[in-house]
Amino acid sequence: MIQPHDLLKIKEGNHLIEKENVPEWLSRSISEVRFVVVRRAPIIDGDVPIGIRGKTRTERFGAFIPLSDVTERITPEQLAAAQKWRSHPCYEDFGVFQALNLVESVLQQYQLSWGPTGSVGFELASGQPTITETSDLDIIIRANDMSINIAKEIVSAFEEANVRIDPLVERQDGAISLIEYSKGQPSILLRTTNGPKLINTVPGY
Amino acid sequence: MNTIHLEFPATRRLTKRAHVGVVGSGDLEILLEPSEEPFVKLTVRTGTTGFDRTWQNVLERFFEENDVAANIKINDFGATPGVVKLRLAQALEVSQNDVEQLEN
Repeated sequence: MIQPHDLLKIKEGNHLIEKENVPEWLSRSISEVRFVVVRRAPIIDGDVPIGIRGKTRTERFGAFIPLSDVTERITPEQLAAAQKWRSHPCYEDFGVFQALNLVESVLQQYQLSWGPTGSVGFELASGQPTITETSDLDIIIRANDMSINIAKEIVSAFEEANVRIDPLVERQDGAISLIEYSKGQPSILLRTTNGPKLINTVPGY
Repeated sequence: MNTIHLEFPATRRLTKRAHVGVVGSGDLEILLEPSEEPFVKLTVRTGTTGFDRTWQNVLERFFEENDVAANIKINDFGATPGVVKLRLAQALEVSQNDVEQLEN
């Protein structure tokens, strides 16, 4: 099953479906990189919602791609398991790689399944240079019933990192921010495939 | 970093500060403080450029429907308009919970 944050390799001569005006950089990214990221939106009639990255932060574009044009799917968990960052030429230079090691050792203690997303996930999947010295580390953690205390422990362990770690908890009903959840406030934001909503938190939900 | 300043008339006072949201991709952080002046004054800092018009529209509509005198700082990390509206609603929820408590 295709899920948000999965990285898809799309075939040449694909049938990209755009609903807005296409920016100039798009065709280069599609023809040379051919990796796109699944967005959090419904899959309708086999058309997968995707985001396309350009070279800079501001170059992002949303579109759809027919499932039949997808040749490979890489999940964030597969990227975590493969640990390709350990052989990255900039392993010693980029803070995100040390942060990945930290995340791995922390989440292993809780036996939680996780994976990198954002620029780190994109580069690990595509090989396309995307990470910079100032990159943050976006990750997802799969957990349906995490307690607020565990969330607090994980957030506090992540604060030891030398880069900012932005953890999302992916649940069956959508995704929440681990940092927001750990604060124990009465309402938090849940991102669902049908858009964001505010939900009430109760201990252990 | 792009900074947008907006101001709309307002009459209803709030009593409590609010800090909601997250410094994280696709999200935003809102710092709200009650104001004595009859305005809602907004400062939006965003890394994304080219969406000034969208911000203007989203915020104008929200404060037409929600009359609150406040100074509001928004630090945006690429949130969608849907997330922006929910986070604003959440900030008002927090700053109004206290009003109810005072009345009780």
